[in-house]
Amino acid sequence: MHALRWLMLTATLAAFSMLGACSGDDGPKVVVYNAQHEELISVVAEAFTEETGIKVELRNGSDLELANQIVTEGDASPADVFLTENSPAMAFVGSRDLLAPLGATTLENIPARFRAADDHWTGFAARSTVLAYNTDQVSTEELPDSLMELAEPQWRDRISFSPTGADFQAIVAAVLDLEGEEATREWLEGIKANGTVYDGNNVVLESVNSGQSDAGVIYHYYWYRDQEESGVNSDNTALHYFEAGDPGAFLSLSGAALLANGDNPEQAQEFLDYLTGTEGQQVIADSYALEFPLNPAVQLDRAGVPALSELSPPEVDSADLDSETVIRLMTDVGFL
Amino acid sequence: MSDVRIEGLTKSYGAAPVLQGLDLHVAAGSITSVLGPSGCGKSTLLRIVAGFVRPDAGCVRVGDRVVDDASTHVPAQRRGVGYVPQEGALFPHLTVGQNILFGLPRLCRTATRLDEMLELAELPQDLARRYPHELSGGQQQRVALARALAPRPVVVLLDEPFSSLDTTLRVSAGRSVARVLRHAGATAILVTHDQGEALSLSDEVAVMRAGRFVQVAAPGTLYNRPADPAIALSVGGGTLLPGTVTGHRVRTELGELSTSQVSGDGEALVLVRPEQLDLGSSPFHAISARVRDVDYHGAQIVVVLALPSGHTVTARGPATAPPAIGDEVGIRVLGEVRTYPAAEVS
Amino acid sequence: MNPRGRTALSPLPLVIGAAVAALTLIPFGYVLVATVDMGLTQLLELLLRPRVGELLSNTVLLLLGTVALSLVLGVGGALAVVRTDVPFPLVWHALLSAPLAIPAFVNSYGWVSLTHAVQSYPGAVLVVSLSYYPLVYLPVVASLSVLDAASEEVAWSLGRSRVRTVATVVLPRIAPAVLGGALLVALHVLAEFGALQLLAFQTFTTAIYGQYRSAFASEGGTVLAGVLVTACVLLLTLELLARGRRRWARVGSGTGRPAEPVRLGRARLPVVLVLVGVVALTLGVPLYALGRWLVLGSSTEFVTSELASAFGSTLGLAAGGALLTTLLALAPAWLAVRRRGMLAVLLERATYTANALPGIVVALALVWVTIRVVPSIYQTLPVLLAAYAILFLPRAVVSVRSSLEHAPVVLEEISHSLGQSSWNTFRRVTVPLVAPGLGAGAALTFLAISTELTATLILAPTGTSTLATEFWSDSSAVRYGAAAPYALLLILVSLPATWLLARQAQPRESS
Repeated sequence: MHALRWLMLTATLAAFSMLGACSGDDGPKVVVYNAQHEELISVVAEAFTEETGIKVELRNGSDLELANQIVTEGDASPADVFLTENSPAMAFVGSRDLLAPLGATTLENIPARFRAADDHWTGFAARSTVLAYNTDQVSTEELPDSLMELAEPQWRDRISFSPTGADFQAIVAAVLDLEGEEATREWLEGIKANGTVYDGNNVVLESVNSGQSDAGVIYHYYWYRDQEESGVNSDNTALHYFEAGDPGAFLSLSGAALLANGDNPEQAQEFLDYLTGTEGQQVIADSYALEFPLNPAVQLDRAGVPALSELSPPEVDSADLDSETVIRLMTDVGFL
Repeated sequence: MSDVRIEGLTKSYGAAPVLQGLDLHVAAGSITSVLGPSGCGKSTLLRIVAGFVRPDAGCVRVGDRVVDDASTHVPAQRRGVGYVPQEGALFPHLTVGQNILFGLPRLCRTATRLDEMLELAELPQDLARRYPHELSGGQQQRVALARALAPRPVVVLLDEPFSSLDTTLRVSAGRSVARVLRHAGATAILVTHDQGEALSLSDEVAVMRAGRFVQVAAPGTLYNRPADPAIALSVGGGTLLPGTVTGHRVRTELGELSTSQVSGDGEALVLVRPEQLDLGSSPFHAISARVRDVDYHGAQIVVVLALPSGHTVTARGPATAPPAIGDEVGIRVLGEVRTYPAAEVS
Repeated sequence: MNPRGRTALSPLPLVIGAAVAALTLIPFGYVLVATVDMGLTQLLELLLRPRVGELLSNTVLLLLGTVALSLVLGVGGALAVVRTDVPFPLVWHALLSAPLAIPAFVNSYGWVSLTHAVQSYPGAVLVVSLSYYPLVYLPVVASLSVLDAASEEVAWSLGRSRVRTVATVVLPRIAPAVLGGALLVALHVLAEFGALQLLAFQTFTTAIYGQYRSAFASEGGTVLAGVLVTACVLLLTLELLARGRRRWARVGSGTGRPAEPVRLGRARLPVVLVLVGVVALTLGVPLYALGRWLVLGSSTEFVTSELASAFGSTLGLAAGGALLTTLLALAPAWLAVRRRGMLAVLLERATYTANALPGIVVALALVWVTIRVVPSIYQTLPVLLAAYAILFLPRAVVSVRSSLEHAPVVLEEISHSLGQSSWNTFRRVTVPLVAPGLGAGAALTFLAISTELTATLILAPTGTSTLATEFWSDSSAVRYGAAAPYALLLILVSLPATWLLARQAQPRESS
């Protein structure tokens, strides 16, 4: 009985303290569903509030939770702005007609190739696909020019990747766009036969570093971040960028959009203007995130990281990827 | 205190009948024992009166209130019927004091009331703060009784209250419980399979067999005038011998005996209680028998004797001059005997 | 035994039980509606493919492996602590209970950063069992401690060896505890996501998350969830059959006399070494890994205000959720034990189905319902607490039910005969009698909620951060150093609940 009383007391105290924390004032605000890394966006949001006086209510999660949540909420969603880590989540929400067209300032801030064709969402940061390889187990001559080579027999039992993430889905979509359905299916079957499946880019990197696998497909920033963190999971590895125009050189976009039924459309638009404007993009460039800002006026200026302009991604409209076919192919092959 | 009246009580579990039309009246302030072997339905009867089980048919009345009939069922908590189960079943999470005061309204749970109840139950005051597992079996039983009596119930039910106590404790615990009940002036129904308990503690004994009452009577009547041979054997014991009745005389192997019963002449079974058989060697001890077995029960002995016909009879008497096994002894029958028409026992 | 009939069946418990069952069936209904919407052809297409078979065999194998290993560790540990003269039994008891305080994903995280060998079937079985065996160990210790020695002594006197006595007399009598523990382990493993993700071992639950992550509100995910529910129902039916129609209530006479401890003699050192080994694996590895990250990680920082806020909200949510869940568990558990009818059993079992559904499905179902029916409470505390209750009710029901089974009915009857109403009887007799079960249920739920991630992210009031959300956010962003303090705090916040569970099962001090 003592335990129960104690529990009741704790619960009551905590409930009061949480109620206190939640009861906000009625000033201007914007509700942001943020699936990008929380540490990054909270810095941008703080800077935005300081500049405009608009309070940002940040709801954090991943693409998994928030995209499904917004779609389940439908028209009743409390969200004004949706930020994703990768484009498929945004495309999914967009396919349900829940997004509003973007304002002119935002459209001007970001080059058209990083935006959706219908102007319903825009990229605000990008990441490049790379191959992390174990420097003891892979010689530089062996490194593939193309992502497609990883499906070939010389890589049998040597590679690893994380196919259940939306990130990988974007890569497959790029392959599909460039190589066609049959080639994509064969490639998927090939890498399934060749590789080990892990859950998460960081786990892939760790497996390459420890020599479990020789090479793994990840996004560039996982490697750079680990180097800045401690190097414990990446000191035995190096990064290899695929050749210009290859599906493996694909840039994935973190997307930003306005919800059609948001309660605070003006503040939401203001937030996106800030996020894509020079100030917001500079915050991203200076952060730990190591992702590429997309406003041409701002550069990621970090030691060892190539500039966005040095990369030559393939000509793929990342805003218009065929995720339905991708899911079907990945399901057929047995990744999902 | 109120009386309890039970009429035509019937209860079955599935196809198995448990109670088959019981009638019973327990006078206000009296103690009635329900005596019977295990499985005869006596606990079910008690649970119906308590309100835990609903009868299939029949009527239960407490005082002038109907608590059970075809259209009424008063739940246990509104009957004012106290219940003392086997082993006491004290609440293990409460102290003795909290157990006793459990059934009282909050304002009535006073130290004075507790002291009254402890005194009534002949329990020392310092027991109040102890927990049930720190008590002896007899003490637990009396706390359970005090708990049942504290809210001043109209009736108290006791379900085999002494069965978990050892034999010596049983007698004293039984006496003390009966004393407490009488002191409280409670109407009580006591269920037991122990005839000694039933006879010594109660004003009336209801003998139950297979869901029916076969005799309801005061202890003395039950002992002296058992309604049938089976009751006779289970209450008090004894020997049944064949005999021939002529008026108030019965001819048996033990000689011609007298009976005050008015019954038809002819073949009969004759009940001879062990204490009616007197051993000796005087001329009055005309029948001779051989000693089969001798059993010591403290100051008394029980002797099993074989008659010339092969029938055995049991005698009980003082252990002052015990015979030896194999001895030839003379016997005679003291007092009157009971007879039962031979047809009654198949 | 007397035949027992019941009278005046109050409809209230049934109504409350039905309400609780209805709450827990919301996600099930959501899955059902989605599956029916899909149509048979597509359903079969999604169901009858090699991937489902692969996941099924993975899940079943993991279930069998972890339950078996947990039984070995749990029963073995309990016998060593309670029934032998191993030195310092109370210290070993504390150490063997302690893994409950280390969340399974923190444990996996520790193991994976030490060796990748655990990213395999045997590795997954080992690591998950090391996290969950206390769920077997604790009830078995409790049950062994109150076991009367008399029947064991009879068995020896009849010429049985001590080992055979344990096998033939002791084990059957602790079977209910073993079975209950095994069910808890199985339920935990079915729902486990974080640890298995780190261990790179795919089960239905991780695959459902994969589906929702790649294909979003996909039919595939829903179908897999349906299979999972079926598996769970099967498991529950098996357990129901195994427990049979026994009753364990015991009145008066207190507890039995404990048996003389077995003298280990020359086996003493090996037994102690095995115990040291188990403790090193369960506690040493994760604590070492966390310490290493704290020292190595450049992102390691102790921002007191953030840590304190996450700690506070975790504590509050877990305490509130545990309280609500335990209270809700009372009705179905009471019905199952005291009424025992077909309906009562169905209601009780209904509360288990949601346990098989991953947090994402339960959370989305609640989003769907609240935003359409009661939008005003959307993203408020009550909905989140309801989600916790739905997810973790079985853990509370199992504990409350077993303590109810040991509480004699006659005590409730006595209370009625003393003029107490059903409610008063419940409050003054039933609840105090099942208090240990309530405490254990609340503690298990507390532990589960403090590590819950998905439902918290989706349903918590905006701006809520818990230790679990912060840990995942940091570790998935490769900020291991920043994640480590949250993991440490998670262990800290779990300690009181673990202590409570360990103390309840505490073996009596033997001379």
